[in-house]
Amino acid sequence: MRRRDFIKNTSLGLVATLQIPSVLAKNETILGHNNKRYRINQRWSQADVSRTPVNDCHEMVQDQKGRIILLTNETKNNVLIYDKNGKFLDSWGTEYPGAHGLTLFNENGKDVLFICDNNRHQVIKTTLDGKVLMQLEFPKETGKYEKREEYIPTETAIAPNGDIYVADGYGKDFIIQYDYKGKYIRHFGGRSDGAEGLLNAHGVCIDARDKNKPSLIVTSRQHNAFKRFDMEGKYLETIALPGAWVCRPVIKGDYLYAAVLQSNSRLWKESGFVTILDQQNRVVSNLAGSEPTYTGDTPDEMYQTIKAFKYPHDVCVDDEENLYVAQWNSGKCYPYKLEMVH
Amino acid sequence: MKKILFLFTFLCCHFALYTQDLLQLAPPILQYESSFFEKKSMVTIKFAQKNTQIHYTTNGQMPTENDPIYTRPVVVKNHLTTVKAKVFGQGYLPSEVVEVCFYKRGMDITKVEHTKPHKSYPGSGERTLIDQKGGDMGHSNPTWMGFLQDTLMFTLDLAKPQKVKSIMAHVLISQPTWIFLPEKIEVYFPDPNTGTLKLMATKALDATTKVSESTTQSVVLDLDNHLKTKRVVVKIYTLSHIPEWHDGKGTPGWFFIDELMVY
Repeated sequence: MRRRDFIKNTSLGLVATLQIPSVLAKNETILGHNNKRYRINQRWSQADVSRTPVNDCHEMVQDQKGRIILLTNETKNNVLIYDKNGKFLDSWGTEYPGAHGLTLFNENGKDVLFICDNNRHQVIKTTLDGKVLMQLEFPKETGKYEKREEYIPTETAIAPNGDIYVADGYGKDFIIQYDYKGKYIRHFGGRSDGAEGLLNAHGVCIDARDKNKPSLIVTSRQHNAFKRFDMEGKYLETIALPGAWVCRPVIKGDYLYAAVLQSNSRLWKESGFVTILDQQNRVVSNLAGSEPTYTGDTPDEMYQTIKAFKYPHDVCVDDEENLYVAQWNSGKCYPYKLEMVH
Repeated sequence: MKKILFLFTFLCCHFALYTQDLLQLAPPILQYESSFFEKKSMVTIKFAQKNTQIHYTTNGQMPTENDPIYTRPVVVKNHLTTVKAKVFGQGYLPSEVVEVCFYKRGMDITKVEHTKPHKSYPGSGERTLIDQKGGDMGHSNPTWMGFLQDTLMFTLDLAKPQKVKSIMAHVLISQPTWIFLPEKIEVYFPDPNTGTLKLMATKALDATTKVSESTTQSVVLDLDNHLKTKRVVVKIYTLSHIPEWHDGKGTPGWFFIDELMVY
């Protein structure tokens, strides 16, 4: 290599590692439609890959202090904590090889976490700094399981009264309801192609947008749909989302947000995007996905249009309505931030 | 040194302006009834993203921005027409190219008899391989027949004796799902008097090379002598041992076929 080339390469390397303030960033890419449009920043995370690496980034939540908490199945540090600007603050956890679901619940003023571990076949309740408070084992009480391996929980949702709903999304697709102490109450759903049946019940959340009638929204990912149940597990309706492998529903304000792992039209080809539904369950925006159009009441098939994401796995919506997207099997990349364009 | 400083400053500005990398557009979606047609076929190309254009070709070339912009379904009338499409848009890297090849129906085949397919992939009845339907990638779609045994026989009866120039088998390659090309295909004509099979063409295929993306392939066997026949027998030797680099190493490969044509 000639010396001049060497200097050129060195300076290139130097420049590339400099932190560029985002105000200088002129090459903006705006994703989404209608009133839900966002500026993507793929370099949001300032975590040091040599110290706090990630594997699959499965889910994210925001705590009362405004911090962004990420769950990864990297056992060097299963939980990474950031501020909203992507500054790395803290990490903990080495005991969660199958870390998958992360739910935050405000328990009498104090934030607690519920972690679903695919490999441990357990749901673990912890404090924000990782102290274990409770463990839920495989739900023998349902009469549907003979051994723990059949149970592969992917998500939890916690009702205001503390009831815990666990989605066995990689197991038998049941939703299992417990009281706040972890005592079994009932189960529903289960794998089938019937109206109330689930196929890859990957996520669950509580929809309290109708204050008089709270309900549960459950993912049926391979059906490309969400299914609504009442709080006692009675099936109410299906929200079809053709083409979209939706992950867990995340409700903030009037809207429902979901990472779409991939498009049906390009399976296992890193064809994910993010979808946003309004309170009438109409798709209003697809980030890096096709412009939402309808034929009657059903959305036309949706698909990725911009390769901004590979396999998005969860969306976290912060107090300023900005989004954070965590991805599965996407080259061990850190989450992206998407700032709302007003 | 001045030069280097200039370069440094230039690069600084350059990077400051481009903190967010340019993103690539995803490929457009091709929709068509079947890869096979009698008189004509039609392709719809979808891409619902503002400020982008789909450019396409039908001449085998890679689409550029100088090629026609897609506005309405592309009509295909000629055998072996490949429609290629690519999306361009300001502020994005252009998409990859997607393509589909169309095959005009060959000679009239009245009947096909063949080795029984695997019970999980039976196709859609006895005309599956001569129904002009297929060409998609989904192996569980009933246009496909799946086989998991070493030697397969397909006997095609033509409507009348004709001079046969070539045979085409339309097959699937999807190595992640253990679906491979066969090792060899042979074409036989029965002797009109004795019925003894006479080898007319043979083709060895490279079944073990890694193909990362799933794809369909038309395997064509050209016959040296264009002899008249009413019956064509196609013998297919499937992959006996999946290669070392694959999860299924040592076991037989699956073979999927959706159409057989005689030209």
